[in-house]
Amino acid sequence: MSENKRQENTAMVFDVQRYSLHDGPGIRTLVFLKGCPLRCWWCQNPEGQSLQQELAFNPERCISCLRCVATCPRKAVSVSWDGRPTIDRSICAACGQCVESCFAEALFMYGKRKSVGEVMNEIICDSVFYRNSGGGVTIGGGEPGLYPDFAVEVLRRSKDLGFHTAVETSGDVPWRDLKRILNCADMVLFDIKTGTPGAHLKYTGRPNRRIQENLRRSAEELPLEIIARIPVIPGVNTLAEEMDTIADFIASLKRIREAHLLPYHSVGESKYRWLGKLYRLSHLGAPSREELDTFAIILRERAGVEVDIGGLGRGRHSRMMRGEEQV
Amino acid sequence: MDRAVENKMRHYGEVAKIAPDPLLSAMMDDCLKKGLDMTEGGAKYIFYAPLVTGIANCVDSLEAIRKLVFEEGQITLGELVEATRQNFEGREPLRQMLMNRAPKYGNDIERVDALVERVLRDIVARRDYWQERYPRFRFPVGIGTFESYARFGNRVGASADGRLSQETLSSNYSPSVGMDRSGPTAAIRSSVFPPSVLKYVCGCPLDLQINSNEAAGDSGVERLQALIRSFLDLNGNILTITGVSEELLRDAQKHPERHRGLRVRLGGLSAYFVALPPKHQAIMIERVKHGV
Repeated sequence: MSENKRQENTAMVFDVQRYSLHDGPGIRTLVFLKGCPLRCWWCQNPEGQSLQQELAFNPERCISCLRCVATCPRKAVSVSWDGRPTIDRSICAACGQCVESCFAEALFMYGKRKSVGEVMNEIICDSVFYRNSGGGVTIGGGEPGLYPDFAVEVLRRSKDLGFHTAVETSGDVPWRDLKRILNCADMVLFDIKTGTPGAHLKYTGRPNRRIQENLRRSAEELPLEIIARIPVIPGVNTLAEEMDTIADFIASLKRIREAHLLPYHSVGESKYRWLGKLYRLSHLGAPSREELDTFAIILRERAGVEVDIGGLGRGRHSRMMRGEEQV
Repeated sequence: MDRAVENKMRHYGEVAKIAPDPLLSAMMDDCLKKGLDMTEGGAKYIFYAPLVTGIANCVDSLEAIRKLVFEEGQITLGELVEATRQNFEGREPLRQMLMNRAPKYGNDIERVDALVERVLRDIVARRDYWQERYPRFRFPVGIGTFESYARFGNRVGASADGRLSQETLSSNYSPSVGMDRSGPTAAIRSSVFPPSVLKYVCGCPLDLQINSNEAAGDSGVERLQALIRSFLDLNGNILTITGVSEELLRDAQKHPERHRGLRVRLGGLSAYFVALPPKHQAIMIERVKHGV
């Protein structure tokens, strides 16, 4: 039994979101895999960074019943000045016993190990919606490239069922893993965070050489549709030099026809607090309309791509759908 | 239900004395021929449609009792009854357990959704009983609150799903307030049932709120079409869709009293916009503005 379990193809999944609209065509189910090589300052899914399960505490849901304090076997939870629990993360082993005791779901765990079968069961629920919308499955995260076996099997099974398949990637994984995954997908949403290597290292914690190389090889060697995804972070990649470098890089790849600009937002900020992590951009506002428009114009003119702001795919996909309907 | 039908039958025809409906009667078969108003039984078919209200709260309560009382033994039925009688006074952890530790209708969970069918079949059985006694009448059952769900809720005490006394009931055939945490496709799949459950159905509307941004542009419209087409493919009955926009949300911030029922989707769940903390409201507006 336990050996069977070990052999089962699993991944640490932190969310399976149905009715997802931003990550490929149509109505989709988005599978978030936990763990990412990058630590982008603006990351809106900080719960997707670590490969491990993580304990989170949302004080707004807490009813101060303090059952967690009594439950914790390591005494890592104590009462703070406001009558609510506080977690000493240097002692906490993320065993989850306090989560069990918390009926209000103020304490909860990010990440659950799931098998391909379990995830497929969730995906299959919305088959009729995929069929009617030309939608399907997107694997994102985190970084799906950290789970190549799992990603490949989910994508392959989805494809066999006739669902459209897409992958979101930071690109910062070994090429052989990325290639295996992308070979099973119809579309990749490939992130480009900054243009210059210096800014990339500073703001994501990783150099961008391998990422650019992987994107170039994807464009040259693989047949799938590639969409460049650029988070627009004011003051980080909205500088003229950054925008030009990104546009020129996309142009040099030749076959990329569509780019999505994702305006920075701080919706995920509270998740940093829940995880006991530091958020470094709390002062930052959303990019202005002008910044977005300027970026879009530079991409259109220098890289010749269609630009979609927000990633809802108002441009190209709808025409494809119409084309399909005529056939 | 028995009381409602009995009363209606006993006083049938009284309506004609105070509020006859000549215009509608003029358009109904047989009213003119018989010279009788439709409220006096002039029409060829005479309907009395019993409507089920608060079905989501009912099913969620039954599921909470089944799971937490009978299956897990977390609490006795007597204790639970007493707690609801006291409106969960001093029993907030219990209330949270009822809300969060038992699955809820609207999330595509088979065992809960099967309870809807079970409740409806029981109601249809009573309908058949009355149908036999009053063969002249037709009794098509439906699920509907119209706009009165808050008023109905005001007259209902605390329930085993963790709902507090006087809090609103779910609208029409929608999931309980804030409990549809798995998105519209799950809500749709939960709400559909085989036609055999309600043979003569007079309507079971499912109410959905959708960010207007999601329906913008060609592909937004196509997605919405796909959602509706899927609803029909799955045997859906009535779907109402409400779009919210930035302007609407801003107005709701300024005049919360005018927008009490406005629901927005927030990280996978629906919330009453006016009940959100101001910071979340601002974030919501930003999200709607940027379509993210």
